[in-house]
Amino acid sequence: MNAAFQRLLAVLKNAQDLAVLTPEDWDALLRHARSAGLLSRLALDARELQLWDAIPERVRRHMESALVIAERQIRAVTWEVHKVYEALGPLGFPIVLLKGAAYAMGNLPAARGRLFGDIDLLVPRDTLPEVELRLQFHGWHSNHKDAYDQRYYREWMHEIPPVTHISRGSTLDVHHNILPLTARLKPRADILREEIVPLPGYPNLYRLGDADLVLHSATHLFHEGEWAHGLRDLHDLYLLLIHFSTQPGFMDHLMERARRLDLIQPLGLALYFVHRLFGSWADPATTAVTILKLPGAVQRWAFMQGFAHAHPDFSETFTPAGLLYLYLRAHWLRMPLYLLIPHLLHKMGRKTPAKG
Amino acid sequence: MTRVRDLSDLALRQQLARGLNLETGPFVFRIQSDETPVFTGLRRLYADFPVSDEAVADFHVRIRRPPGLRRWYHPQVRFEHDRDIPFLPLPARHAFAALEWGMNWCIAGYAHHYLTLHAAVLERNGRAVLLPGEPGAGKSTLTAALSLSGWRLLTDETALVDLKTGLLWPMARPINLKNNSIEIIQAFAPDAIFGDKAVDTHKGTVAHLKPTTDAVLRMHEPCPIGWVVFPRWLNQGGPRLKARPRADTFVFAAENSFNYSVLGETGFRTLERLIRQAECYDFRYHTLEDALASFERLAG
Amino acid sequence: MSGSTQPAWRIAPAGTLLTAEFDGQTVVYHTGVGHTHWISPVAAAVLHELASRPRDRNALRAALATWVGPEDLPLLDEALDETLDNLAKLGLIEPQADTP
Repeated sequence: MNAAFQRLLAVLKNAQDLAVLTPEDWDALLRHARSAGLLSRLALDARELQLWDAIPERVRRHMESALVIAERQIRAVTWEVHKVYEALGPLGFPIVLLKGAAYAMGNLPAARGRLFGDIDLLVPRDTLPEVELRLQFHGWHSNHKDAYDQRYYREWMHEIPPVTHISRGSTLDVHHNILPLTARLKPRADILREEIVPLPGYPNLYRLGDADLVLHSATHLFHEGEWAHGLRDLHDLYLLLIHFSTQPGFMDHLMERARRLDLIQPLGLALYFVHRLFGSWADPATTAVTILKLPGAVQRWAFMQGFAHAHPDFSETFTPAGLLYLYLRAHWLRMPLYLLIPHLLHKMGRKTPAKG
Repeated sequence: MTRVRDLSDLALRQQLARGLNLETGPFVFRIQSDETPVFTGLRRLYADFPVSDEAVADFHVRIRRPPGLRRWYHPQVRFEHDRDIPFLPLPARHAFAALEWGMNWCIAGYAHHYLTLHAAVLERNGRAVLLPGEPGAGKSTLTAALSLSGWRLLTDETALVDLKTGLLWPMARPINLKNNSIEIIQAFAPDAIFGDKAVDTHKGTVAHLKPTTDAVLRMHEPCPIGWVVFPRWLNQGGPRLKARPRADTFVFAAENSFNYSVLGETGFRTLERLIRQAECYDFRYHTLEDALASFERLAG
Repeated sequence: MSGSTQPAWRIAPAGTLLTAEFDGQTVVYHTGVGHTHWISPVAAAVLHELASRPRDRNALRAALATWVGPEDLPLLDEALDETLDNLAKLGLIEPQADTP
C-alpha cells in the first residue's frame, strides 16, 4: 500500500486528520476520494467535526459541492423507492430492498455520503412474472432484448434482466436470491427472509436483518467482478460492522448466520480486509477472535489490487492482471465451467456497448 | 503574478508537459498535454490569463492520445478529467476544442457550490445581462459582438450564480463560435483574434475568439443581475424588445440549468431570487448594429 | 368516510413541493418528480389547499368556491376536474390509497 492509498484510508478512519493536511495533500486527496466515491462521506465527517475552517477555501468549495450531491442522492433514492412501492406494493408480498436503497430507507450509517446507482430488490421467485408485468406497466423496460441475455439472467443468474425507467432513467435490479442459481455457494432466499426488518413508512417494504445485511454486502463485494467501487463497498461494510457490533452478541449471530447461509467464505474475506484496511470496528479482542482463516497470498494480492483500483495513483504495480484475476474468479464463482466457457466466448464475440 | 503571455514558448510547452495551472475566474485547471493545438490555443487565446502557483487545482485535466493504433494512424485525442473520460475521442487536430468542451463539462458536473445555467453573461454599467441558450438563436454571435463593444464578458456558455448572494461570477474564457458566426464576427471586428478553426467537428466548423484583456483582468469581479434577454436573429425586420413573463423565463432557465435538480430546493430559491430581480425580455433583431444599439439603450 | 366513493388527493410524497409567484403567475417544482411547470391559478389554489392536508374533490370544490365570483361558479366544476387530471398527470398529486 503506497502513501497516497494510506492517506485516504487514514482520513476515512479518523476524519480529524483532515485538519492537518497540507495543500499538496489536499490536491491529491480531493481527486482520490472523489474517484473512490468517498468524497461526500469525508465532507460529512468534516462538517460533523466542525473542521470547515481548517480546510483551504478552494477545497472547501468542492466539499460543499460533494455535500450537495449527497443530499441529492438521498432525495433521488427516496423518490425512486416511493415509485417502486407504488408499482409493487399492492401485490402484498414482502419486498426486500438490498444494498444502498436499504441503507438509505433504513437510516443506516452506510447511507452517509453514498452515491446510489441501481435499486436492488429481493422478491419471492414465484412472484417474478407478476412483478415484471407491474414494472412494465409503470414504465420500467428491459435493456436486454437479446434472447441470450434474457436466458443468462433468468435461468442462470438470480435476477430478471435489469429494467430502466422510460422517463426517469433509473434502473432496477430484481433478484430472487442473493447469489446466482448457478453459483457454487447456495444461500437460500427463504432463510434470508426469516430475519427481515420492516422499513419505516411502507407496510410491506423490508431490509435484510442486521447480520444478513453484512453478509450480503460481503458476498456482493467478494463475488462480483465489478471493482469500480470496491473500496467504497468495503467502507460500507466497515460502517455496518461498527454500527451493529454495539449490540451484544452480534458477532456470534453473524457467524451463525454465515454458517446457515453457507457464506463463511465471503465473510472471512470481508472481515480480513476490513481489518487490514480500516482496523478494528469494535474492541480489539472481539475483532481478533473473528478473523478467520487468512486468505491465500494470491487472493490477498488480487483483492488489494481491486481496492487500489479506486485510483491509478494507488498502485505502482501492474493492476490489470489483478483485476483480470478477480473478473475471472467472479465468473467462475457464478457459473460452473461447462456454462462459463460458452458464456465468456459469447461475450467476447459480441461488441459490448460503450459505458456512458 | 505570472500570466501565460509572460512564459516563453519553451517554458509554456514544458509546463504543459508537467501540468500548467490555468486560472479562469474561480477555477484553476491543471492542464497536461503534449498536443500542439493545445499549446497554440493557450498561447494565443489565453495569453492574458494568470498562471496559478497554488498547490491545489480544482480540476486535473489532460488531453492525450489513447493507447493503440490511433496514436499514429489518423491520430485521436481524448479529454480526461482525472479518471473520467466523458467523451469519445476526437481527431488530434481538434485538441483545443476538446479541452474547451472538457472544461465546460467539469464545471457542469462538479461545481455545485453555484447554480449553473446554460447561458451567456455580460456586464454593462455594473449590471449583468443573461442570455439563455435557445438553440439556433444566434446567441453566440451576439455575445461575441457585445463583448467587442464595451460589454464585459463573464461567460459565453456557463453562468455561475452564487447561492448565497445571487451574484454572477465571471470566467472570461474564449468564446466558442460556429460556422458562419465566425465570418460574421471577423467582418464585424477585423482585428479580433481567433484560434485555429476546427473543421468537421460534430458541431460543424468551430473557432474560439480571444476575450478582451479588460474582461480577463476583471475575472474576479462578480456582478448582480440586471436583465434576462432571449435573443432571436430574424431574416429581416427591425429590432423589437418585448417583456417576457417571469414565470415563463423561470421555467426555461430551470430546464436549461446544468444542476438545478441536483441543488433541489436551494436551486429553486436561488433561481427564484435571480428571476425576481431581473427584467425579462424577448428580443428580435436582424443586424448586429441594431442589436448593439438596443442593448445600449437597455443598459441606460 | 365510509360513504365517499371519491379518493382523497394528496401532494406526491417523498419530496418537497416548491412554489413561487411572479407577477400573478405561479411556478411549481417537486423535488421528487423533478420537473418545473408554470401552472394556472386554479392549480395553484388546489396545491395550496392540499399542502395542509389531503382532501377529496368535494372538499376542494368547497374551498375553491369561496374565492371564485358567482359568475364563475358554473365553470368551477369543469376547471377543477381538468386541473386535478392535469396535476395527476404531472405527478404532482396522487390519490391517497386509503383514508385512515
